[in-house]
Amino acid sequence: MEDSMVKDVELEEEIPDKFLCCVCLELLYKPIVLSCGHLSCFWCVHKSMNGLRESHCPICRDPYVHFPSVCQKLHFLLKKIYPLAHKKREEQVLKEEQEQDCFSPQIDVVLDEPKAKDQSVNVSDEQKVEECSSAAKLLSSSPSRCDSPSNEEPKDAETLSVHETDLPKNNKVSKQILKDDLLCSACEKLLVRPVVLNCGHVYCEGCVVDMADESEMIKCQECHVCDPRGFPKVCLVLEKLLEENFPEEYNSRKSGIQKTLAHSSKGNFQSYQKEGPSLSDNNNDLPWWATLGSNVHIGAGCDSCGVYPIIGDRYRCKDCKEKIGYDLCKECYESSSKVPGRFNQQHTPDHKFERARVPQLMINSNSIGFLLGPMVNADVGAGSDESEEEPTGSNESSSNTE
Amino acid sequence: MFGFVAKPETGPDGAVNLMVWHCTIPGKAGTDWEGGFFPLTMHFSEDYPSKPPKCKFPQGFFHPNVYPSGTVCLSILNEDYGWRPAITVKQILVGIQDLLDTPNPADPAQTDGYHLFIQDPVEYKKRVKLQSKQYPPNV
Repeated sequence: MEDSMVKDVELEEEIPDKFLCCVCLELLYKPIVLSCGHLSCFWCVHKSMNGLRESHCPICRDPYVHFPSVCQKLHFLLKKIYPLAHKKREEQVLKEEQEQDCFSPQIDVVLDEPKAKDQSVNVSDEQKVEECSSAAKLLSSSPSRCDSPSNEEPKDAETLSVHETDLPKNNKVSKQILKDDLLCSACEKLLVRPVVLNCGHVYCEGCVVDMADESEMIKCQECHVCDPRGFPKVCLVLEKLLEENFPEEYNSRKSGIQKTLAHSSKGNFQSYQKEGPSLSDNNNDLPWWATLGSNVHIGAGCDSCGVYPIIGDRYRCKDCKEKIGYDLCKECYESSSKVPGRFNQQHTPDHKFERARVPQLMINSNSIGFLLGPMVNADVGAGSDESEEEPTGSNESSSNTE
Repeated sequence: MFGFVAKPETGPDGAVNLMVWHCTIPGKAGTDWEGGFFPLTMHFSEDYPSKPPKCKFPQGFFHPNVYPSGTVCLSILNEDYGWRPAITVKQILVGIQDLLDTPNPADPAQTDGYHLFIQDPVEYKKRVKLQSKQYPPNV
């Protein structure tokens, strides 16, 4: 059965390179857009992050410290255009997640359930119902969460039924990219020069500039969470999608925006520093914990803002049962954030926190090897590339260059 | 792209091991490396592509940036410097081919190759040409 499914996927859905994740080379699944504008899958981003210090974009090596939330707008769009490939990916990823006993955010379940009941069912809806019921079975312990900040899917479904009369085939309709799928949540017009905030919500670059307050913090209008990173760069994959599907409107919007920006005093926003000061100031080759007095929680990230690793005070939920736990950094703990866990933890506001100790005790046998690698490297210095390599002549030769 | 080869290891029983790839890098035309078809082994870890594969020439390979064990020292193959999970096997091979004729004296990995490269260009050239002859095309 799997074989025929693979064939179907290949026959019916040819996925352009721009929607293939650069890490796993498959259809982007639960895409995450980094502040440099590059994107890859939720797990691909997470697995390539560095638990000791800042991470680097898998494509351009741009440094970053915050693990952003899934860009749901793009997620649902890909699900809509490539339902078969998407379903295959969903099954694949869910299987891996079950093996690891650690889950990505179950956005589909939450958003599909209310919709399945009251919408007239078309082809893609049927699939979604199936999917969400199977996913829900697998995650039967998880009550459906209604505190999700965005509701793009129901909106998407409304537009589907509205436009159904315009086009002859249901099957085609469900795969059509509509303007309503690509609206800016601020100006409610077609996105122009789209940027994706740390929370995963998408805005026009110009709208984000207007949203910034005096301290240059951008507060998302949908979820009211501040982006801790400063100004993200335009997501070129999304921009290309806009250009290809709405060429005239996009170009007229773009030239309009450029004119306004030229007159705006905020036109120079591109020059803003993108990452917060905490890690960038220390941007050298030493691991964080090598700096005396640094308080790095190796391998522990904040479930609210996504900072990874947490530096400084860290608060751990005493009531979350999941293996991965639920942690907050000091800022997020003090701002009583309402964001659910990054890994589908069933955290609720009545859970109690305790301040976590600095991590020496957290190191398990798996991470020791991981720790030793960089440590040896740091001792040898920037010139040497190999930790385990002890060539007879290399010490001699490297001393020549130093 | 002539002469590049990359294929996973096949055991005597025909089982394919995707974690080890046997590759060939042809020396660039017009350089002292021309005519050589250099065998390179790539060792992938479970963490690939978060971590780069380890690339090895045969032990004792003559090049300033190759460790005595044969491991290639190149920024794009170092997780802390130039590695990006988006780099493909093809890009790695082309990168190493490029490194052959443009060694990086700032990052020496063996005494022999490094000293000759710095101190005795004539002898260095001779050794490179000799080595290229030692690795003829595999017909």
